[in-house]
Amino acid sequence: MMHRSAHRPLVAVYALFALAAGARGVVQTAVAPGAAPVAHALTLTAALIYLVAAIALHRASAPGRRCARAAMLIELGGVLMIGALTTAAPELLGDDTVWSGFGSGYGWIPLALPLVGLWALRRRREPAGETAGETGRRAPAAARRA
Amino acid sequence: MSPHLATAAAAYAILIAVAAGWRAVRPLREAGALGAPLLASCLVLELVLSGRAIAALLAVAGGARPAETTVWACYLVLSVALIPVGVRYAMGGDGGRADSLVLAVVALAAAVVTLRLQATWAE
Repeated sequence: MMHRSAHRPLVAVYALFALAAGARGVVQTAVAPGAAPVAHALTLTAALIYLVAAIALHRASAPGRRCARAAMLIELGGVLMIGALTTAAPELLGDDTVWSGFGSGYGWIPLALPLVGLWALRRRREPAGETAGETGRRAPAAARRA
Repeated sequence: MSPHLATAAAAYAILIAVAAGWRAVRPLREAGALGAPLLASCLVLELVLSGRAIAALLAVAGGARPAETTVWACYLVLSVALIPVGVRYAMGGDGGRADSLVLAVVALAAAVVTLRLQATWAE
């Protein structure tokens, strides 16, 4: 188990973005249903991805970490793709999403967040003994002595 | 709703975020608990935001209407709930740098929500 407190700030940011994107998607859909279904669906999808990442990071286990990494990679792909699409053709989706303009409506945090998250996950490796136990590899000598 | 109070509350929240961020990066002198001044500042901010929310609800009861009622109501609930939930989450850790960063994130979010609440009232 990796140190639970290490990713708490990321959990907080992801939870906030899940809330912000979810509320935005629900309000957009409720106020103007059918006006821009793709944009609204994308916002709700982003909210779901943020929620999955927050929960996975909070669990702080090896499967949780893998799940968080997958969510962040999907998130990064989404923000790059939607950002490029909406920059090239601003009216394409009919309404703004969380990822429009690479997240410019949210201070570009949607673009930075998966990069920071992936960096944090890479930096915070699990203790050698646990990793070796899960993968079947031999732990380094220092870990075996400990 | 007073725009000046919103600006002041947002500035105060940003100050708390800076203080919490500073606590996260400076060398720790004590471990195991978030700083009492930081928590007291969050309490004061919560009191200000709650007072503002009550004043806004009284204004609505008196016949005033926000420009975007649904979005405004969401921000109103969030403006009151954010600090208690965030502080509770931060206090659930070991009181180290990560928990100070959590407080910084929550205080920054409170500043944004405060300004958005004002914007959705006046738009």
